[in-house]
Amino acid sequence: MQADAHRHHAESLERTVTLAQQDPSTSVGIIEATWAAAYHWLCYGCIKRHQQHRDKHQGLAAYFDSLGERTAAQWWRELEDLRLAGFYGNKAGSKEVQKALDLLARVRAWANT
Amino acid sequence: MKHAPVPEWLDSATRALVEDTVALLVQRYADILLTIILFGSVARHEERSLDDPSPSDVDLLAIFDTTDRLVEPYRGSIFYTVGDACCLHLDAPREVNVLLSDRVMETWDSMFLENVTRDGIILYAQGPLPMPLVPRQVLMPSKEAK
Repeated sequence: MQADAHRHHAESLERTVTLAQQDPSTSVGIIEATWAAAYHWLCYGCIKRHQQHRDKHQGLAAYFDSLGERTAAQWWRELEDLRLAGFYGNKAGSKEVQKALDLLARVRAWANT
Repeated sequence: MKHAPVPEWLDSATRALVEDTVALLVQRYADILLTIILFGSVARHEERSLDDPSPSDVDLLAIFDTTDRLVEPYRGSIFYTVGDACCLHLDAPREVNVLLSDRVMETWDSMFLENVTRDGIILYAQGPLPMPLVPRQVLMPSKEAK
């Protein structure tokens, strides 16, 4: 996928997150969509900064580590933790959602600077 | 659940990554780290092989002596530490995921806790296991055991 396509996906998923936030019972879904939006922002930022990216989420943190993007790798690991916890049935609440949104904001800012 | 080293059925590079992840977390968070448990398909030795298009990840559950669900304010630095271990083993073919938990574990699904309790491999523990991970037969011994 080209950089602009990743940005469009990220923005579309962010609109989904905004809509879902109207119903707090969708917290697991909000975190999933936030995680996905962050993935596309990371791809977009990586293409801009390094003229390369990884078109799958498996191994993404190690890939960013190898590029020297340690903070981006840390953000992604934190988002993976939130998403995987939901996958394993952890009941995400407003605190987890807010954390995911904070991480997404950081990733978006990183990708656009 | 049993105490054991990192399973020998993992390839050597991933095994070294898991060992260094555990070692660095223990070294830097010894005062609040209660236990690290390997769980999931690798713990059960049912992992997808490295020949598979999507080999299984290695899943670790790290439980900390806090009641904060997100393990703040340590959370960011813990994941940075996981990255430090990763940087030592960028050749590892499997990804290592670390899930953080507080010691109360009340937000976790009961089936997940049962699975971890049944299949998990304790890679590190300091003191007794958090109560939600203590097998039921230990809490309620059978009549025969009495």
